[in-house]
Amino acid sequence: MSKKIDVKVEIIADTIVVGPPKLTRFEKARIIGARGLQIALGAPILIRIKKDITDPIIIAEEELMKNVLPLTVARLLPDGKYQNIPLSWLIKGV
Amino acid sequence: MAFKLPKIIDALQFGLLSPDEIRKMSVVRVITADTYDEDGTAIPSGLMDGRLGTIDPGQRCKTCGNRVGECEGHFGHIELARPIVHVGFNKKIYKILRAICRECSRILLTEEEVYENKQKILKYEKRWEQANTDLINEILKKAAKIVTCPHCQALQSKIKLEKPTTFFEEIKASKKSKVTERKKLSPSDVRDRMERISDDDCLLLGINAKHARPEWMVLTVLPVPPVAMRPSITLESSIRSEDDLTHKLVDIIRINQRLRENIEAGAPQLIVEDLWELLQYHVTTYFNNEVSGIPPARHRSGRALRTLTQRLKGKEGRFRSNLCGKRVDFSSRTVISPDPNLSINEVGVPLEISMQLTIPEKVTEWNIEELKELIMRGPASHPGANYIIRQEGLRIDLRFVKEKRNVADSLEPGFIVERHLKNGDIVLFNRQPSLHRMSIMAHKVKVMPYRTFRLNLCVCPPYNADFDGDEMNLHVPQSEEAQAEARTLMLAQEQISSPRYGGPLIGANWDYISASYLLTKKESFFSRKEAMQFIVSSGFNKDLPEPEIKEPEELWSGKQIFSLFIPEDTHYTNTAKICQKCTECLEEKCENDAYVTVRNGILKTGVIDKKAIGSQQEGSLLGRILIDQGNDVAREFLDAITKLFIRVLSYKGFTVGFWNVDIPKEAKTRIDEILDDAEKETRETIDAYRQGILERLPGRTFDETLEMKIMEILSKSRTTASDVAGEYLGMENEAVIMAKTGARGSMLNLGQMAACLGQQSVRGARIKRGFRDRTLPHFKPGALDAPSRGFVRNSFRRGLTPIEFFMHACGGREGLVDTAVRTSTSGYMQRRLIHALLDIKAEYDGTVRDANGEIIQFIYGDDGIDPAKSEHGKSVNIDAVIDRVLKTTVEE
Ligand SMILES: [Mg+2]
Ligand SMILES: [Zn+2]
Ligand SMILES: [Zn+2]
Ligand SMILES: [Zn+2]
Repeated sequence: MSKKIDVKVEIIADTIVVGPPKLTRFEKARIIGARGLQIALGAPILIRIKKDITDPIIIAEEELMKNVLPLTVARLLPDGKYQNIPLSWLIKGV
Repeated sequence: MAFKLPKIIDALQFGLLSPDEIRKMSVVRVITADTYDEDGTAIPSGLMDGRLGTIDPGQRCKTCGNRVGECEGHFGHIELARPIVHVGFNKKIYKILRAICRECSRILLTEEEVYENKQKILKYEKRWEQANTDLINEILKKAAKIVTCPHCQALQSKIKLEKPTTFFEEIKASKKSKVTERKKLSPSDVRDRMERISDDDCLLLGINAKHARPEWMVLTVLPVPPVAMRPSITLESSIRSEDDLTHKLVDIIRINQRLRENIEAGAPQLIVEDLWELLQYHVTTYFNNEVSGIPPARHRSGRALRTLTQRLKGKEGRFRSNLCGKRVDFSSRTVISPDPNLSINEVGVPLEISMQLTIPEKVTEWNIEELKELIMRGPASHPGANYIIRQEGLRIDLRFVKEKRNVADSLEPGFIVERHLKNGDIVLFNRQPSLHRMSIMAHKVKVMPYRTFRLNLCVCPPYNADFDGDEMNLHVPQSEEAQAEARTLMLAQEQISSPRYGGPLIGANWDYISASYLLTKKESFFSRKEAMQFIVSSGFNKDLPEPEIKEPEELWSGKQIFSLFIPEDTHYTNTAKICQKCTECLEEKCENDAYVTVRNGILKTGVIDKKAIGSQQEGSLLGRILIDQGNDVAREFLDAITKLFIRVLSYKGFTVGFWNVDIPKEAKTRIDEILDDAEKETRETIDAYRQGILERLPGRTFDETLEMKIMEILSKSRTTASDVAGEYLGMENEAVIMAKTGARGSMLNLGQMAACLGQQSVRGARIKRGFRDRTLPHFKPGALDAPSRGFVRNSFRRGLTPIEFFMHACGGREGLVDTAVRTSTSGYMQRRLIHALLDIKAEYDGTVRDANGEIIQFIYGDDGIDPAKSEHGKSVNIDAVIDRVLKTTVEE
């Protein structure tokens, strides 16, 4: 049985070196969920949006698509190395 | 609520409880058979003694001082006046008794054998970390056959187990004597013998003496479970009703008491033995009230008691019902019914259900006004709310609020409002058996009247649902994270493509297919009024193109109308389902209009049928749109065309009836001739067989040859008869339209209805079982001809004779049995496969690993392709690319 990795080493690079060049659907779901929660708790929204749209999830999705979220995706490899990737790098490909 | 972990488990060891251990863990020795006295207080040293824990909300436990939730209860014990055999171990005790000496209790093997086997067992245990049960069973069997003890030379006697718990010994006077004396072994005798077994010998008997001494299988002390395990309930009439286990324990204590008193008073042996046996009965039924050989203990009302084993066993038992099965809040279940006006992404939720299921919404300064309105509407009218949770965690039930205005006004940011389900909320929709991931998909709520869940017909295939009474479950994700995941990963439109074979699993079916054929076939033209009707009912506003026929009347072809819904930039070439598979395909000039070409979103030639828009079709138009234009476009396309087709079909009218399988007289005569010939040929073959002049097929016996020949003749005759009927059933026949376009049924089915039902079979052969040498008494013994072996000459149209009907029922029954057997075995195989693969995951470095991080594949599927996003398993569809490039540029 392989050992659990506790040591985490950050990979510093100015391109995406871990994982695919675009946002995976799982990352997308995670980000929309996290941002949706913020909005549901009353965080101010970062884009102009039609008055009748009130669902936090829809707003979060819209924000993600407009690339206004200052978030970082941490992609962790099974060997403990990881890269922090600015969300905007991943959005370009979408 | 913070959850206190009582203990952290790092290892589990199973074993038997020793009498000492039982006493050690006991907080009270129970000696009184009564539970409560007149004023309702628990009797000390009774079965409800306060030290056993508390079930009364107001009281504190007398042992640990905790209240109901925190105190998990404490065991007591009963000192049994005489040892009692534990039913659960009767077989094991029996096996051991047979394998040991009745005098010295050594295992009946020589020292050498003992040593040898011991080494084997230890080696096996070290290597595999489990007992070598095969070897142990062998040892037990071998030892049971020994007649004289190798250690003390005592003559052994045969041990008999009389189920469930009585042991007998058949003693012989000498080795040679035939007369045996039958003597009962009391539990005390049994226990004495087992006490003398050495720890080393235990190993050979399959027992680890460290955790379980064999004599512990005969009880001297009985644990009394805490009251939390057998709570009493107070009925309305304030009469206490005790748990079945308590009833049983009362019996045990009472008899135990009487037994002890009798022994102490020196009562006659007979009386003591009777009481002992009675105590054995009560303890046995306390463990298991369904053992064979003794009547189950019953309640006063005559109901059998539900004791320990019954609590665990079976579908309603602890394992299957409470440990493997969990029930959840925020869920509902009802019958499903179809609604073609819904999107595939939607689910119709009955109003009543939408007012029971809630979503918690945090009050913020942005939504406070909206939520106040919901509160004012309350729990009884639709977009309302059921509960408010204040910041300090206090729940306000809006059902009991008189002044809603006050509550609404007191609302402030930070509160949580549990509001009704409303249109657009995301929910999970599920139909059992949940065999693949498409069995649970996310849908958007559409609140509707009436009491069924409504769903679009295109999502029937992934759920494998129909509307003959099927029920489905609905779950409401509560947190924003859960809702986001459901929406992005599980929404029905994200599941159109199946991960099993890169093609759409969600697609048009049945009537949609018939309608698409009727709309897009060559000769279908529509006036401006009709065309506009169709387009409007699709829910989309599209301009009509130039009419295909301008004089004398403006007429639009069905292909033109359908083309409005195909997304621009769609290119597609394929044959239709109705294709006759001509030897030389005329392609665009096909006579049957079976060559479908779509150029830049315009349907140029061909009819649209199952191959273009159906579910589970490879290389379909729907699949093309899905891959080229994405889920959103594909969903819009599907939603629009299905609504269009419904309108077209109800405008044109479509029905199936008796006339669809009615064929002219000349056809009937031809079919009769064919069948007469076949039956004659069969008779001739049988004659040849009887005379022994039938030529044997290579590698076959005469019987097999005959059967094969007959089967061939008859099946050929059925096919020809069907074909003859088919000649008279043209494309204007609704049943034929359905069969040819792939909407429902097949030409084979039609042939069976119109021409001849054909040979019925059981186990892949002609029906041969029934009476001796014949299937039914209507035939001569040894009959081999067609009718006697299940050939049905008639059609469903003409009707079956009673004999034919019987033969048909034989075949039908086999079908039913097969499906029943197949589902259960394949279900179990699926379960085990899923269990083996369940936590395999693709990591960011592309490797596929199991839960321990071990690599299973270096790249997923060895090609890194997600089958759901592939072109039928391949990464590129060259034909589609060539088609797109060549066919479009040539035209320009
Ligand atoms: Mg059904
Ligand atoms: Zn307690
Ligand atoms: Zn002996
Ligand atoms: Zn053709």
